[in-house]
Amino acid sequence: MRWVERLARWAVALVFVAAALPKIADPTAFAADLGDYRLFPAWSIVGLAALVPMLELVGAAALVSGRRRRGGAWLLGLLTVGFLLVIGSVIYRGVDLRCGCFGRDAAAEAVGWPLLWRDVGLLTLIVIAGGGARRRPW
Amino acid sequence: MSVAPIWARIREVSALVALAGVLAAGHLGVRALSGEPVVWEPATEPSACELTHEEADDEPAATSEAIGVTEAIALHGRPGVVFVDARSNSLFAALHIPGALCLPLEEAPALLAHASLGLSPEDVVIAYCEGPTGDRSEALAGLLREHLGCNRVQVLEGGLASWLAQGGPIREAAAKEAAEAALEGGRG
Repeated sequence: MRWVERLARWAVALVFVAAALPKIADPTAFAADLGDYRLFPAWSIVGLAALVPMLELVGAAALVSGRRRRGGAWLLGLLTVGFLLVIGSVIYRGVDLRCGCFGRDAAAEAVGWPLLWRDVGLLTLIVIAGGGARRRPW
Repeated sequence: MSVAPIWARIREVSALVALAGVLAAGHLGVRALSGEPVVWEPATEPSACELTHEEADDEPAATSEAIGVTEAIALHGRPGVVFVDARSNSLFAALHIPGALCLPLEEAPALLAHASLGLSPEDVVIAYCEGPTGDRSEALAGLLREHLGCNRVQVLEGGLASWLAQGGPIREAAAKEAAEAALEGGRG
């Protein structure tokens, strides 16, 4: 089912590019969102605000590239596992937050179970997207 | 099972992370050189709507009625109906219900002790926070009742998230303005 993998690859890549661009455009706002999570040391916030969207962008580009596809899938998979841990921590602490996943837009979702399940779905899609790389480069 | 593929993956992921690191450093450098450095300062107040369920239990008794978003949207803009935002100043600056009062929960006891904020006991007050748990708005509703004698305080079900989802009117700051407001909020 190569077309399923290809579709998954492009869908995942689009999601991560859509998530990365607003954060790259306005890293200060993303830094403020990260700070609201109260999970990361203060010295790391600015670095993370710059690094996370670049990881998303590089991972997405790798995923739709020929040779680095599996690496891209692993990177985005690890990133998503990280997001799941952060979301889980927010749910556990019972904190009300906007996720800031796609920048600080009006439709920003509150962090909670729906977001967690959405990311579980995304992770599943990443697994599908990375699955075909061993057989064919495209 | 051979470990070679695992090492290959680790190498690949490391290379991608290194590339992202270089790009991130470059991005930070370019912004610094262009006079728009990325800055963040820790907020002195708890962050937006940050209140654990345990903390909520310590707040004054809060047995507010809940109001559904549809009903709240219908009431919005009517005389005698006041929306009160329990989130932080920075989040209020970024996004809020038009006409709402900004009353961050952490500052509310001090503010309410010295001012009525223009609220009267006859007003219908609808408190909201980010949602979905509504802990902050519940706690603020208790404070409003206690300090101002407001007897018609309701909590917006699902908070701002549901309000947005239902297409309720919203006032949003421009991105740069919002970032500046967030920084101001962080300093304050």
